[in-house]
Amino acid sequence: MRNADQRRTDAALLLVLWARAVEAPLEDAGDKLWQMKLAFLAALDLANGRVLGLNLSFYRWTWGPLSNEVYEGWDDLTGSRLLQPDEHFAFTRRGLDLAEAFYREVICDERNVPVRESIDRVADRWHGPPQTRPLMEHVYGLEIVPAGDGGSSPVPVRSIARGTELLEPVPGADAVGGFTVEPGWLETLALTLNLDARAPLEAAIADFRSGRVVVG
Amino acid sequence: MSANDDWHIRHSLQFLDQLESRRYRSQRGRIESRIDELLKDPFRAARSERLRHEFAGLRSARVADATRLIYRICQECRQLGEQHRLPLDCCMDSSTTALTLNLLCLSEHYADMPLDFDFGT
Repeated sequence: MRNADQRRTDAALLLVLWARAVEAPLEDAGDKLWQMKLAFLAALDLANGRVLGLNLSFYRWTWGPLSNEVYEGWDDLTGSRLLQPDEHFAFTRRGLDLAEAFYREVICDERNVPVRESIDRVADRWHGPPQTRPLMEHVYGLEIVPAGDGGSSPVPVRSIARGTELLEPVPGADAVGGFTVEPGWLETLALTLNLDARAPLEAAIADFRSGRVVVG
Repeated sequence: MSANDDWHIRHSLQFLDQLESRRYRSQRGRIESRIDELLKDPFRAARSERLRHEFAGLRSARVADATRLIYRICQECRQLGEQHRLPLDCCMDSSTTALTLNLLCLSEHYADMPLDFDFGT
């Protein structure tokens, strides 16, 4: 099971992936099926390169690969008002700003080249207005070896039984690359993704701006 | 940046209210001890970390597992030109010495997130 830091960095990575893949993130950032399938493609690309970047597990469900962790990501991102929930998601200005800053300062760090390459590859391949049907068809046609089924031949996702585990995060011991996030950014994500925790900070900033300060 | 000069300290009313609150009353000794450590080395004590992006110019120091102290060092803020990011009164007031720690608040932002899963839709 991933820890809280991994959950927060997963949310930030997904935010970047979706922001870079859609043409107009403030207007249409895709529906749940589109975002879920794109997350699967990014996780698969990372796994193929044995890079531990996203800590997501996928299993075959009614509409293809599904990850409970992506649902948690939606909870975190909509709960902190970085994504607006609707039939199709839309980024808020804050969400888009965070995605751009996290990409520039963390993902583009030279230690994270394999992660950046995976995110860029998937986002560039599917860049445009989010269209769910062609993306789902592509994913259904992909041939993969389901997780934990190492001896078998690859099979198309569409023929894999419902409930089958499809993809697991790369085990640390097998990974040839990881994702480095500085502690200052982990603290920043924790504060950004916890709306309740911001209230005392906002009150304190208001104090400093209006002279409600005690010296010494 | 030096770490052993005579640092001044300013508190927000929010921080002082938190110190008196039931939630933090029992941690008061630990909090004051962390502040003493920060006054000796405001850049490195208590696992202090510079916050980024929309919180640039602020620092987060560890008080306990999940409890953090959010503060600003005037000297660092001025040297890095971060006053415009989240301006406080000291950013506009040249009489505030650079060797000032502005204690904003205690924060629980690092508390673990709930890990239960609600399937929802």
